Amino acid sequence: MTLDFWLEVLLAVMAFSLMICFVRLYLGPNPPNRTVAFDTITSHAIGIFALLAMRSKAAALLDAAIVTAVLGFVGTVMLARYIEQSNLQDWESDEE
Amino acid sequence: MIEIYLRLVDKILTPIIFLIAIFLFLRGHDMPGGGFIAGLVAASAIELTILARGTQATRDRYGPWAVPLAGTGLTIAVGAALLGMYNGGFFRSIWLEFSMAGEKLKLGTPQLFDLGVMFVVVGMAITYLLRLGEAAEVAVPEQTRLERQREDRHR
Repeated sequence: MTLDFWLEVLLAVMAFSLMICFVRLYLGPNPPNRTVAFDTITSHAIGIFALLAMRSKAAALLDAAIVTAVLGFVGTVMLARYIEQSNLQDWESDEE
Repeated sequence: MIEIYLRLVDKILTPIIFLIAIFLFLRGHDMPGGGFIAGLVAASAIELTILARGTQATRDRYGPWAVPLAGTGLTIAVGAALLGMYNGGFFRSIWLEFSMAGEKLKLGTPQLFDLGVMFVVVGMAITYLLRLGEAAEVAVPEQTRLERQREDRHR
């Protein structure tokens, strides 16, 4: 069992987990759920970038991971602000 | 509209993002990076400032720089392209090599062009992000709807 094999396994696990996150993004009954799904997807993107950088020994991919982390954080903050300023009553009636 | 937690994050994270932008800018051309990407990363730092401190404070800090920065950047980029005329044609690159303590440092007109592109991108991004932030603050009055609902419940 070499490092490369376990990197492949980890990539497969991350891909499966990412798929579940996309299902939540599609199904999510209201915007807060979708926001959390988006945040989780950016975390998965960072992890997959790091694993790919390890697998192909390309240090440049780590910069892509850093930039993804920054942009994901800013995006999540903007979505959170949007939720804060919106009307919660509309979503509560959707769930019924 | 000004969050305490976000202000702390802004104080710590904005200089780091600017450093990442400078790093990406200096690495340009031969490896991933360059002026456009560095400009976009710097724009995300400015967006974080807008989110944390509101548009008015950000306009006081960056507003006067936005349009002159874009103009200067365009001038620098065109100037870098025109400098190439010395070397046989429009956009031909001129490289200067410095050697310091055994390390070689290559500077040239491509770097200058990248600097111009970065200035244009940052100036344009400041302008439209500030406009968008102001539009959002006009659309939602100072007291958010959520706070109003909470007050209604307390009554």
